[in-house]
Amino acid sequence: MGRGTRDRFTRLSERKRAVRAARKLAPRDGNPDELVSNVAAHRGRPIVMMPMPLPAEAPSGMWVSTETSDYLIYPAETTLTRRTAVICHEVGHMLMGHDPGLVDESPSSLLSALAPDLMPGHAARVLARHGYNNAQESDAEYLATVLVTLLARAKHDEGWSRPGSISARLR
Amino acid sequence: MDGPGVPGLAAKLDHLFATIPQPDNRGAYTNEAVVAELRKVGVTVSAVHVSHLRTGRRDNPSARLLAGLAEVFGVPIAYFFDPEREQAVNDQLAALTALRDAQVQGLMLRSGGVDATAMMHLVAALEQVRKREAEGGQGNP
Repeated sequence: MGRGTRDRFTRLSERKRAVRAARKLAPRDGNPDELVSNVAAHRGRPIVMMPMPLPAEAPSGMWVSTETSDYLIYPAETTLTRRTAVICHEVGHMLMGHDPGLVDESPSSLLSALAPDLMPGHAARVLARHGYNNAQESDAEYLATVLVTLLARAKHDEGWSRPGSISARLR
Repeated sequence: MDGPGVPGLAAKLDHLFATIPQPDNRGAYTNEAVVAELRKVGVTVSAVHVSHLRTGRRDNPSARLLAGLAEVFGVPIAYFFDPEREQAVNDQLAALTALRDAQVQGLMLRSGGVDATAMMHLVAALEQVRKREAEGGQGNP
């Protein structure tokens, strides 16, 4: 029980820290691409945006990290709202500090999803090491919700302060 | 004791040799290494016989030997008999190989189970990543 409580406490404080970063990095114009470049600058690694024709059955988004770059793969043809949600989810992973390459706790869950017909140990031999877990998915989704809200609010505020908008004209 | 012939056995077996390496970064399996692994699971066979199965000179291994080979390479024995299962295993091996070739250090994907379609898109995405990395990787197109 002690361990579970501590984990929950750690996760909560990590979420708080990530939300603070999100507030700092969410752009004033609510543009998700701007968010991504702010996050890249914040992490000091380029994020390559890679739209792909992903149908509904495909994974909704992917974050692929290599030695030098992070690749954010998202559906090319979808609504702006959906695109923003997918991007924010992956950015959520990044802000939470999830490093898919360093999470060695349960590599078998990713491998068994990717290669269910192979013995996990054998699948691991084909590549090197991988990690993936559900607590991270839920944290990323939480951050995504925060980010989507921040972007929407920024866009709204921007509408009121932009020259030519009602507030400016009333001055 | 030999069983009936397995169609396409040589290609199937050779594909496993080509894609699934030995543990602990010891590189690709050799016929001798497979013989040694088979001995551990109680199957005695010569390296020459394994070589003949790979080259197609023999295609009628005993069920015990086939089961042993499946175990050594970590695939279901149906891989050798059932074309659908063979395809699934090959798709999965292709995805893992694409991850390795793109020198991917980490992967996060959200998906309720990775079916054949998802796998295809994952491999396509990884191929894009591999190309970009080969071009110099860094940010701008």
